[in-house]
Amino acid sequence: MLTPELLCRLRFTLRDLPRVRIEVETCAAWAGLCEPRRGEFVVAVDAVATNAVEHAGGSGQLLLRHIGDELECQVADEGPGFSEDVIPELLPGLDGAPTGRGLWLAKLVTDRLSVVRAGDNGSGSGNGSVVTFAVRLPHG
Amino acid sequence: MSTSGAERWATADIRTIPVQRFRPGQHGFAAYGSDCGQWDVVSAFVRQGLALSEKVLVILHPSVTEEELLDRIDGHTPALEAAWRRGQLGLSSMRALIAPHHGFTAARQWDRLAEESALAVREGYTAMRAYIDMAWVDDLGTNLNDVMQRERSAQHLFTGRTYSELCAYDDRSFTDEVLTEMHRTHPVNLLAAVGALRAVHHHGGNGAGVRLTGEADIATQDEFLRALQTTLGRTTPGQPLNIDLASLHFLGAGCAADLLRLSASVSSPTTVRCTSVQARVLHRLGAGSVRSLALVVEEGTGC
Repeated sequence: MLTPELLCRLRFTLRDLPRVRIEVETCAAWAGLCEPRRGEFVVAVDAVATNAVEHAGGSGQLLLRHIGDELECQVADEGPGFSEDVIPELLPGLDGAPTGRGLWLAKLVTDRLSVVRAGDNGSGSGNGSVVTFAVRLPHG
Repeated sequence: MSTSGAERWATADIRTIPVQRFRPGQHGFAAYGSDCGQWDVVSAFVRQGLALSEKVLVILHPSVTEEELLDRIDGHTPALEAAWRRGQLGLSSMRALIAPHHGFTAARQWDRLAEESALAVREGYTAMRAYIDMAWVDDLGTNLNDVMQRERSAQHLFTGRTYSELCAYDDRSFTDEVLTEMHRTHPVNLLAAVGALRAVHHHGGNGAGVRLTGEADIATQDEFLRALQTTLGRTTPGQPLNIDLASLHFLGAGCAADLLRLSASVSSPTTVRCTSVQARVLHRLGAGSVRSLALVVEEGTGC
């Protein structure tokens, strides 16, 4: 069993997103994630956090951990709850509705991404969803 | 964030950058009009320095303690606490820097800063960066003209790219004349607020263009789109459209899609100057399918 190392825990609303990106970028660098993957990871974090702000209650909580050879981020919101089905399978066309493009990109640039609706994970009832995504860190 | 203060000095000319783009060898000016605005910049300045493996020296108002610094910048994270413990991040004062001397002279201060940056490199850091709140001027009873002359003639400190310095002026403590002169004197000026976006439009024989600085995210998306539309409105059909993102520290998925959507809707050939990370994001979102669009990646602009 790998012991997770907590890198940061932040509550955020719209005005906190720049601070969230800076913190995540710093922690990712500290954990050994190099460019350009670090920059893409920050874009993914921003996309998932933005989704929480725009569509899932206006705020959220971010947890960034170093687990084994991965950098894992969890974003929990208190919105109506959503599942992975909202993420399009294919890149949404530029002439279509923008829904899901950010989450689609987050899934593409990370090594794994899953969405759990609160209450679906055996933790009981409650609002919101938790998006968990991770990237592998370079060896050494 | 007060707009009556720092915003006045945040003109987006070619010298204006977001704090996250502050790099070794730069000498920057920042003005702040509220404590809140200053702490956001200090926090970003510190974190960016640590991410670049630099040693970070923070000189604040003499009344600020180590505990207050760490509290105000959310410094109780593993990365920051480790940096503090190993001396990569430190709080000092101008009084301590020039000790055992008591009075400021430019030469004395330059020598000490050069010694500290050389030590940082010997310790294995890539460079040293200093955030210097100019409250020390009053604290040491220093003649302001001497300080301004120092700021005008400090170029030699930055030539080796082992030292960078951000000079922060509380605009409640300095006159407009001093701030205007210091804004003009420093080679680099900081955007007033973390998260801000600025657009500078230009129009010449090579078509219309816009240079974007700062961050393009959900909070600035309307400004971002307006800037692109304004540029488009100034473009004669068929003439080139130039969009410069190289000074944009962050391009979010929504704004990237807006840029692609707008490029796809015009007949003008569009050139986007961008960082390697921005280019990857734009490609992933379908830049390749926009025939009129060319991405020009600026080397060395990655973060």
